[in-house]
Amino acid sequence: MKLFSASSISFAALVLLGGVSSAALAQNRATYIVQLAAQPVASYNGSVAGYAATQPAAGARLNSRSAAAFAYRGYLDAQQTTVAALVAGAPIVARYSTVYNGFAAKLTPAEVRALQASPLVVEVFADEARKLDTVSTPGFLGLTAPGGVWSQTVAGVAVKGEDIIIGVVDGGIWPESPSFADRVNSGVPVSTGGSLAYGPAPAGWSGTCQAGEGFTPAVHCNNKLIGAQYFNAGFLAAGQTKHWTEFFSPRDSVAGATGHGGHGSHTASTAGGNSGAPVVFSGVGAGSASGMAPRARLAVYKVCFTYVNAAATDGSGSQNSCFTSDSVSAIDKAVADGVHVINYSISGSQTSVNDPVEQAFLRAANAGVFVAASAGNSGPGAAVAHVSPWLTTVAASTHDRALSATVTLGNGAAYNGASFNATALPATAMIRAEDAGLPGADATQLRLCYLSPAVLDPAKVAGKVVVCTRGTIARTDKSAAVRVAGGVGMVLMDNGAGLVADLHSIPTVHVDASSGAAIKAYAQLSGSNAAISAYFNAGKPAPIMAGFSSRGPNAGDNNMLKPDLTAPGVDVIATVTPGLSNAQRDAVANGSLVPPPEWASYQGTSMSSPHVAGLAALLRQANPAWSPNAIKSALMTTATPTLNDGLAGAQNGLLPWSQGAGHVAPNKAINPGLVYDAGKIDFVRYQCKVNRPAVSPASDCTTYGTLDQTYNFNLPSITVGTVAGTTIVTRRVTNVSASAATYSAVATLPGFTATVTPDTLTLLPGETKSFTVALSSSGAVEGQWAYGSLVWSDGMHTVKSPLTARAGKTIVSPALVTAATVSGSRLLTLQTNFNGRMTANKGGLNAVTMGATVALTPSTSVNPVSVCSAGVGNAAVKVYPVSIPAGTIVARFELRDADVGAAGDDNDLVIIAPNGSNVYSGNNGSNEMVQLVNPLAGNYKVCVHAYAGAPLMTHSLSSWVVTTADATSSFNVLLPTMSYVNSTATVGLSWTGLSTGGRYLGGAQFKDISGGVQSTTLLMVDTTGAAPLAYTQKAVSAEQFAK
Amino acid sequence: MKKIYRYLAVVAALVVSAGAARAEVVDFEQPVNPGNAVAPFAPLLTHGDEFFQGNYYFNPFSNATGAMPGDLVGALVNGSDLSTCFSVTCPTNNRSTFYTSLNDGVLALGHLDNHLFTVKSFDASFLGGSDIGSLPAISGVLGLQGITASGGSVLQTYQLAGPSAGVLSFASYATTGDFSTTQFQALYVVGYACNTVGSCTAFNTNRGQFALDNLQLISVTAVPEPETWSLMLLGLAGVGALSRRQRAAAQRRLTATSKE
Repeated sequence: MKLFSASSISFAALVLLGGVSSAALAQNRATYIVQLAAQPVASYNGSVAGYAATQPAAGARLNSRSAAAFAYRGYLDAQQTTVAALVAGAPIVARYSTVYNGFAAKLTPAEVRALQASPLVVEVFADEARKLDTVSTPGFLGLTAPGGVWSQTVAGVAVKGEDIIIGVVDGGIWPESPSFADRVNSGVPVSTGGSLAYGPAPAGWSGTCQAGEGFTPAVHCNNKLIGAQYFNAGFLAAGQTKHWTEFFSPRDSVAGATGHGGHGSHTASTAGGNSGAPVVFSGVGAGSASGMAPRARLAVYKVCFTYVNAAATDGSGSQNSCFTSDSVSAIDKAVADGVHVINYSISGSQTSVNDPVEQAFLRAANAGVFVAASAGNSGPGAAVAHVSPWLTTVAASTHDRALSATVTLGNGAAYNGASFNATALPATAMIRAEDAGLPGADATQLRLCYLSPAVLDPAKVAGKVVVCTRGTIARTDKSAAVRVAGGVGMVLMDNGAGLVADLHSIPTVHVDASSGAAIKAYAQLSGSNAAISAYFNAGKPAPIMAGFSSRGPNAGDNNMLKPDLTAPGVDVIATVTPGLSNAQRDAVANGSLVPPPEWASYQGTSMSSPHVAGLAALLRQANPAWSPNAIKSALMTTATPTLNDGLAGAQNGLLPWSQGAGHVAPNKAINPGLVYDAGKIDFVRYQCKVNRPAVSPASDCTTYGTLDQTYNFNLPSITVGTVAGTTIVTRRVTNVSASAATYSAVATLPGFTATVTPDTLTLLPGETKSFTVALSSSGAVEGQWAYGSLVWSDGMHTVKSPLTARAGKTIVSPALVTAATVSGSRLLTLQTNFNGRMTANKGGLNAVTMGATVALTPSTSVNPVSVCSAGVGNAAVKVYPVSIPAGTIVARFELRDADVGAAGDDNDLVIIAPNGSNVYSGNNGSNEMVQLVNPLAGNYKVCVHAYAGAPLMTHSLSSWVVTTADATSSFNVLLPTMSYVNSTATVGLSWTGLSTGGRYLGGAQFKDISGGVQSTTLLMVDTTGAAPLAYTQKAVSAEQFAK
Repeated sequence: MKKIYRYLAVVAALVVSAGAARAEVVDFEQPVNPGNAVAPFAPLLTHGDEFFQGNYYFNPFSNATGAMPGDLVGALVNGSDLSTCFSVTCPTNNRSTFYTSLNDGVLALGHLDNHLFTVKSFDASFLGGSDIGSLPAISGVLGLQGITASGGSVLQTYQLAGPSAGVLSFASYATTGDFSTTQFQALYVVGYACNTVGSCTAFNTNRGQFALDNLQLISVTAVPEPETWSLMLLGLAGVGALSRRQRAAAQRRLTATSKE
């Protein structure tokens, strides 16, 4: 769950495997990040005697060069040295002190344990390899409109990011791009000539420009690109071999067939690249581009490097990864350097705020630095990353530019599709990829036009347009495969993921699936031909969520919405790096070649995140006192809904899981009316709730308290994972406008009663007031999310929050209690969410019923589900009809290796419900169990399938059916007098009078004042003295069988 | 600490004469079972149960509205086998049997021969739910309310620490001041649960839970006036008197809040 893609996971595995043979890892050393207990400089509050506080005041930036910071850094250094001395033989990879207190080191397992035992050490994290998520958007976002943000001024200066420093933690920079020049000639940014367009670096900047391969500070840094550094200690420690396309310097690596460069330059130019930068694609002019904050200064922190990996899934023989230890170094340095905003278009944890990068961003936020991070490209599944409340997590959606081309068939039919084809292709013979294979080519690889292995037959493809299908490999690799085989054009049929205008090596048009099917049908005709036009901007409805954009819910905290918002991340044109030969690259590295700039259209949440970083820079310039969370609030509460992407269920783009609060609308965000602010105390209180061991000093949880419920974190979104009874959510808003205002609230949530108290608020400028939103079910379907909104408006401002909640049970009890004694008692903590007297049903404890021994002949060809459904057994399947009466608490059916004829017999278990649905337990061996909790009454069929084993396999089925009629005085369920909302209760189970050598099952159903069963706890007592069986339990609820 | 106690029970005044003092430590090691106590679910204890340790009777009860016999208010837990504490968090540093008070339960106790007694010391711990990660440093308060022969009451409270190194532990407490020297004819022990801002509540949460052991009590021979004496004899002899005592218990209403 921690990484975005299988490729990253496999890389992590490679690090471990590859390390065994490498000299650096001869002692089985691996890189770890060691977090120490004391606060880093950015959040140190003066609690150590003799060292003054270094944490900046609210709204202020860290002064990392103050005497206090210098002194305290010395204190941290001494501490780090003390801890490092515990592992004296370990190579130190990096040290951190600004936003993270600790160091990275190459450690043996024994050294890890030694450090974990030290009271100075909070935690030791294994280093991880992460990957990069991969321009007309200023106009689409309205920045260029009359009255738009860019036309507004603060202190006489246009709001274009003036003197705001954006730190880009990414893959480096290609300094030859006009996006990063500090000179201008006739309105066009230029590297040489013209006139200087920027003054010296803004006050508060203390970063550096670092020399390295192909990077000379005096040449490549300037008053626009004021900082450029690289952090490769973690990369080097991982022992990978640098790929030839890479530079050990701030320079972004080379692109092309085997390179992976361009990403860092793309994100940097999107956030803060110059306006008016001329766009040239492979020599084709395509207008000009601008970053979101075109007057901002840029500081790049390179942490992603390309290395040799013959097994890379994209066939390039190389891979680009970003190690967390290097990211922490970079974030540490960026905050110390004085950046105002950080963009982080790199994958991250989907579940934990305790990840070192997330913790570094916490300190960045405490130091007043806004952080935008990418939600991830694992959509449309629920896999949103960067789940911390102190940063802004950005999803990706489309914008309205539609670079299109028309493919016209010989039969006159014409289809429009996405294309960036510069040169029209006249009518040319065409062929389906399916019909153009080399002898023996894999049919799937052929349909997908694999580049490697080669599957297209040059004899069939030469001089033709080939129809390929999207999927599995890079889209541009498909056109490359056609070109390599001698083809001259490609029609790419979509697979439902959405059309993309790529820059292909031959004329290409990307059509939707239905057009593709028609084109394929035609292409099979003799004499078929197709013409492809040059591209044009067709325009299109937007924004629509990108299919790849990772969705929520937040897997780490279902009371907190992630992603926070969406921004353009599809077909984003920005500056990148060119594809160079190895010799050209070496010439760049030694300074003998000045390379050209390059441009490309990328997509990914990597592209949407820098849009938000750039917008944050604009808001920061316009409102210097706003905290990072105030900026986030302004962007969220003014966001607008996306258009329907048509996806089904929880993946639908209209839901907050996909778009968060919505699509950014910067012209409104600059004047939001109210903000939901949050700062260090809120972060401490949240961490005390969800991540207490990381809170340092631990006494902060006493000083500031612990957040009672995570849905009460003061976010501009409201998400409640379980509404049972009445849930009361608290929020506070601050008037950030210049005048007093009275706001009225409207809260709507289908299936719920949502009451805002008070429902009007009058706030003076700068004033903060609190309110509550009480949610209670009013016909909501239990377990299903409902989507609504809370809107405060004063007639001028509309402050809108997504309101998302799910009705849940009023009692939650442990599912299973096990015991091994003939009498005993257990105390259970139940979560309660109602006021009143709890009642319970009980049943059992029932001894197991052993079925007669039955012999079957094994068969692997039988379909046990269909045989069982039919209800008539055969030689391999025994059908046991079971009548489940009303009031059944649990029915459990079990096979055990101990109860079959021969060791190694593989029996499986199937249950068919009255409605025909089935549950199948098919482990290796015969330890199988299916359990139905609170099943609906009716006639079930339980079937044993002899899958494989002895020629004649015998078994004896264990079963229990426990109903409320089985209540006896030897099993008792003791309840409290009263239960309370949002609290816990202790209940007691006690049993007596069992025999040794038995297997017993009982259960308790807990009911609230409505009398409805809210939760069931099973009690399984095995007095045989046997060890628990190793099987995957399949517990099935009535709901599952009722579907 | 601010506290409000309201005590509605009518307690018969006793005529007391001076007598010999006898120290006794109640350690809850004497077995409790339906054969020697009114505790049908022992070791689980419910509203209105009664059990005996040494020369003292113990009367756990629920102070919540609508309390009925069978409502879970306590349990005797064997510290050397904490399997009883399945998903409640019991203290881990006591290998002997100790008393746990559950669900805001109150433990009433007194001398079997109606002797007055003083309370010298005890061991106690907060008792947590399944998740103790977010408990504050002071997780609870233990309130000891002694009832004097004249029907007056004296209260002393003790802070119960939250988890340290992930576990809850017994700590030893000594009574102090007037409380330590006042002679009582009954003692009520009640748990408060504290939230992170230091507000502690005895009832209405089910989270007022504690563990108790090694109560050091010193009894003084007392001669009750005759009518009460006969009632006590009945009480020891039969269930009828027990149920009378239970009715008295059911009328007791303690409402308490405390802000640390």
